[in-house]
Amino acid sequence: MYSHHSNGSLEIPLKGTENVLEIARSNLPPPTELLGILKPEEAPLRHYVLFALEYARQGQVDSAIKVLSDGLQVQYEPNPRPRLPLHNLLASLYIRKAYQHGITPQDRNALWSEATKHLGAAEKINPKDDTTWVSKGLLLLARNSYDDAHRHFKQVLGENPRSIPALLGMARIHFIREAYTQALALYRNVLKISADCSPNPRLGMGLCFYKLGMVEAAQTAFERCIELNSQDATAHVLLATIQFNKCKQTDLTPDDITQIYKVGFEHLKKAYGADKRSPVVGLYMGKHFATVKDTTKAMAFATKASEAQGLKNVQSEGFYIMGKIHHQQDRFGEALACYGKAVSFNPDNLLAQFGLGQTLLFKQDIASAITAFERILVKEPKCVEAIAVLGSIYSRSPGTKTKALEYFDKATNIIHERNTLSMQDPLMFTEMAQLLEQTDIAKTSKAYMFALGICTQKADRGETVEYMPELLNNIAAINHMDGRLEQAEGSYSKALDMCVSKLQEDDADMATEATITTIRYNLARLYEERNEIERAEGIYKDIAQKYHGYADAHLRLGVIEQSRGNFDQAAELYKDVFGMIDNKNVDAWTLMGMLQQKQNQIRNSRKTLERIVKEINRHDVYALLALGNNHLGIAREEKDNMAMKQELYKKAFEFFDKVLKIDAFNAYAANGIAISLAVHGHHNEAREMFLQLREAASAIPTIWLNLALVSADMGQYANAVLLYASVSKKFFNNEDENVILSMAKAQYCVAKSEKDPEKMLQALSMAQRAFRLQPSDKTALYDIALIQQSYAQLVSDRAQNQRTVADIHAAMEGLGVAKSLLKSLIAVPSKEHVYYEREIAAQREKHGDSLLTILQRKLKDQEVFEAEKEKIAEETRKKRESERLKKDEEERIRRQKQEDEEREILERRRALDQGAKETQKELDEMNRERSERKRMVVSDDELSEGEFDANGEREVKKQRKERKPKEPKEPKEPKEPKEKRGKLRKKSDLEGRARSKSTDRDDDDGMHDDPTSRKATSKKFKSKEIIDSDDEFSD
Amino acid sequence: MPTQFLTTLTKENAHADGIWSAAWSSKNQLVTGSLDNTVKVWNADNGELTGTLTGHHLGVNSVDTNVEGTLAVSTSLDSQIRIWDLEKLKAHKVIDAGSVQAWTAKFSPDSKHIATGSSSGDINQYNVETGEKVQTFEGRGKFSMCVAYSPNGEYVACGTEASSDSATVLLFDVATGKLRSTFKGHALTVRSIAFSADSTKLVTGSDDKRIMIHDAVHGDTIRTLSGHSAWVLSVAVSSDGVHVASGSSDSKVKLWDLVADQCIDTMDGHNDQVWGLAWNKQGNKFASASDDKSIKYYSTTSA
Repeated sequence: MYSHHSNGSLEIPLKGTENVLEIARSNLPPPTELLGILKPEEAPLRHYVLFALEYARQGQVDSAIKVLSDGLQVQYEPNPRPRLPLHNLLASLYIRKAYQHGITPQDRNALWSEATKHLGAAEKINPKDDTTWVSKGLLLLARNSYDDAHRHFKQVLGENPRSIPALLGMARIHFIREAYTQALALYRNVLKISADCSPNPRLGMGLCFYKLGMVEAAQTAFERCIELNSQDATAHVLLATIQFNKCKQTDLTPDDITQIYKVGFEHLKKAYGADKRSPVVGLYMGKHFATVKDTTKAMAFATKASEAQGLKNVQSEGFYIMGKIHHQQDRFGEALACYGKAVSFNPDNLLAQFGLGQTLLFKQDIASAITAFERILVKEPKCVEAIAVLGSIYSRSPGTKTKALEYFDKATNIIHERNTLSMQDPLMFTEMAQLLEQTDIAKTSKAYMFALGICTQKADRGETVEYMPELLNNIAAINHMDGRLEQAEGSYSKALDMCVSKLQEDDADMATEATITTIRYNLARLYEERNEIERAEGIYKDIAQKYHGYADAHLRLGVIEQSRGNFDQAAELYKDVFGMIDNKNVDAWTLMGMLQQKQNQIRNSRKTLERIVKEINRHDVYALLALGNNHLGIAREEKDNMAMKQELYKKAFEFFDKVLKIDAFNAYAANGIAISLAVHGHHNEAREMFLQLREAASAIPTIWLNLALVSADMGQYANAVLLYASVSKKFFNNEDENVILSMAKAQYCVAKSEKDPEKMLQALSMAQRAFRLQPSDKTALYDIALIQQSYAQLVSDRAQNQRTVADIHAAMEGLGVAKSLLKSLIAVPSKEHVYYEREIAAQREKHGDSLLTILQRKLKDQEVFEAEKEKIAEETRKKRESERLKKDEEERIRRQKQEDEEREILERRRALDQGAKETQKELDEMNRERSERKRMVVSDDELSEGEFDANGEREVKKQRKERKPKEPKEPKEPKEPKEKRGKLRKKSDLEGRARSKSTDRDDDDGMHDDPTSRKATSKKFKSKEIIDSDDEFSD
Repeated sequence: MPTQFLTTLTKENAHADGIWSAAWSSKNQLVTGSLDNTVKVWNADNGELTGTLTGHHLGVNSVDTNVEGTLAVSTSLDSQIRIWDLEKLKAHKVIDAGSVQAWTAKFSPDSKHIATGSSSGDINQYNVETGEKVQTFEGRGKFSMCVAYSPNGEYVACGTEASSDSATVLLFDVATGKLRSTFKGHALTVRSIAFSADSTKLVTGSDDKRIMIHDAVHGDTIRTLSGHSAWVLSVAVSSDGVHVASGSSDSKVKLWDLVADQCIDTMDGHNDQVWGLAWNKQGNKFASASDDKSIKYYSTTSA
């Protein structure tokens, strides 16, 4: 039925004649006219078919149907058989009609029913007709019953493997089932059978190639289609699509993209020229005009596409384009509706889904937006954009911050995997960083660096990056907070440069000016931190002048003045802020309150702070804390009214308690509570609490100070001294006189409790340090005097043998210093406020005098004592000397005597007769042998010790041994032979040692009479003896 | 490139307690005063101790030497002024100024007088030989924390404790005894003061962490140097007028280029307050003394 007739006309046989009526194909009459010839002439039914085919070929499907339907009605043909092709063709035409663009589902179903009816009729005539089976297959295919359709085509192909419609249907099923290779083989088959078949199998092949990723082959196939038929709209549209998709590749230059797009658009135009009604072509036209921002045309085409009944994907896309245009023009309601329809036509249209989410978000329908974005993630779990948006949504509500971070992390990981930083939106990282700022500075900084990286790449590509300076500012701020001031300064300056050049392009840019101010303010803070106060001051002043409402600049100027001690100016600046700029500026009020406190205007300070809590924010932690401390301070000062004191402490406690209710981890408040514990006598608990606090918040000096205070209160003075010393150095550069005086006081207590004058001198040194810092403050001077007296007292109290005349002299000198100091202190005019009682100072002076008297007396006693001691020592020394002399004399006499005796003996020996000489020789021999044995052992010992001891010890032992000969008074022997023998013995002795070790147990049996072994045993005893005697000797 | 100074010598535990002041004599002796009540004299070439001078009963707050390098003066917290013979290494004279009436002391360029700051704010001038108070430059009632003579002997200046609005630096004409200029730039107590060798500039250091350079001749403040993160406790100008050294309770010593108006080096060798700074006569070496009991010597690389 798809075959062509080569000749240019169709014939109608005229009834009863041999003649035929020729009707030109190019000039077909309307069906009614034609039927007016066919019916009266009783033309055979096959002629009806031929004309229907020609109508169909010319696109006049309805005419074809009309002809065929009428043909079936003719009475002159009694046989059913000739009606079969008419039924088949009709079914086929209905199926084709059902594919028409813009058809409604109802109409389509009606058409399918018609087709089914005719196929049923055809089957009745011949149940095995191939054409009928093919049509049934096509109908099933149209109705998406792929399995049944597959069965029918297979049946047909079993009968006729070259059935082109069956092959095409089969290919279509494979294509739908994404079995592109099989589909491709079938299309190829069709091409072999019929090279000019319609529809063109090359289109199918091209699509298969495309799906298989063989874009070039696909393109060749489509181009071939166009060679064969330049009006092939489908091929053109497919070629256009290929080109448009190519534009999405990442590695293209803008010029390339323009070029490729142009080629694509040429195809699209041709497609449109060939088939103006094709919805796909229309859709692409819509997309094109949307891209080139011709919204009117784009809208027209998209609307048409959206009406392409039966083509859900096309409709979805059409609605998506419409939605996008509305979206771009801020018609969010319409956009939302369009996106919604786009999604309902094709839930897999993720771009529409994304647009839907975005518009929902804009409409504040957060829950629905989340659902929309989450749906994208179901289809595309790695869609970074959707993850980022979700992260951003979650980051906005405090309850889902963790979730937000999870999403941001996920997005970061995917971006890392893909390594496509350049394509990303820096905003996500910025949001991520902002979210992390409260929790994880390291990650924050990383996220900012990512954002910056993306921005830089964008800027390198020549794209404008709106918020680059802000980003740099934030990065700088993080570095700033982390103390990397150089880096921070660099980033601030860069950001500033960017803003300035931006401003040169557009000098009325308010936002940029605001950014500049922020960055400059930050820079000033940085200069302040680097102690470049003037530089900072200059910037603050400039900001304050240009933007009078910039409260922070005024406040910083105030803080600077305050740090210089210019309290009045500072106060003026703070007043400017809450008086003229913002009456509810908590910072200004707080600073004012603190300044008043510093100036000892306790009452005013309290009023200022109370104002914050009462009128601005009753949960302001800082003000509450300050008030707590304020009450604590007054309570401490209160000396007379104990009930009042308790009341003030209670109030302070209440303030701290309030803070802890707001912020359970507030170290300052906990500190206050601990103080309350301390003043109510719960020292241990307070100390415990301070210790914990110090662990948790070691940067808060008051905690250390309180810990020191409580330690001192508990009598742990030494500990208090250590704490004061470290806090003074750590937080105050040893500049705070009061801290050092407190330390001196604690040290004073240490010295007093230990009755240790040396430690009192350390207290003196501390008090002097304090005094030197603030020489106009007489408290330290008073303390110095007091400590001097206490030192004198301690020296005075010491037992005579525990002190010296020099100590007493020092104490008396100290008393002298104390006296002159006290005198000057007493003489301080009464109008001057001092922290000591003048009367007590006077008493102190008198006390010093009496102490001096005592010391003068004690000095005499001490001198006597020491003289006595010296005398006794001298006497002892003398006594010892005389004793020594006496001893020496005795010794001399004894030695003399001994020598005399020896001489006498020798003389007596000499006097022995010659006959006795023999006996004497024998005796001598015996004597020598004995001594030799002893000597030998000694040398053994020497050796073995040498083997086992470290050098030093060996030295010592050797020395000891060297002394040995002195002790036993034995006749001297010639040295050499003995040493030789000793040396000779060396080896055997060691062997003996080794053996004796292994045979230790056997020794008991007395089985061994090896001389070396025995010697080793005897040596043991001997050597011990010697060492003992040695020790005795050395003692 | 600015001149570089390197630490050439460190004397740890030079005193038994913190060191509070230092002076470098023209005879190349370094004199230090300490909280341990002693004054020590050192050979500035090798850092060896030459002698220990005792007599003060409290910490030694300031030391200075006369131009000839023959005498030293020291003051202690009990306001005793002691003059020492640097050649014989013994006491030369004792002047008792009365409680807090002699906080710090300086020799006049002609070595005849000693000027001290007092709690009343006056500068008192004593005769070295007689020990008598010969002149008083009347202050403003605020504790005079530091004094200095200009090397040409024309001026004497002092820095005061802060009052409610500012701390002042007062410059007097020695010849007339009249107040010549008042500099009000510092916000907090001025703890140290020094003249440049040509007597035209007056350098002051303050608790407000800043150093100020004043024009002694015209009576205005030329510039301010900030960089220390805590009180500036000591300043000293090199004799060539190029460098100012400053010591601070931030434990750092900073070196400033007086011409380029900037900090050229920061030495952080000390670990406690730096109270004493002194240049040698040539201006190529200086020493710092700290509460950490150590003395450090610095020298130019070119020297």
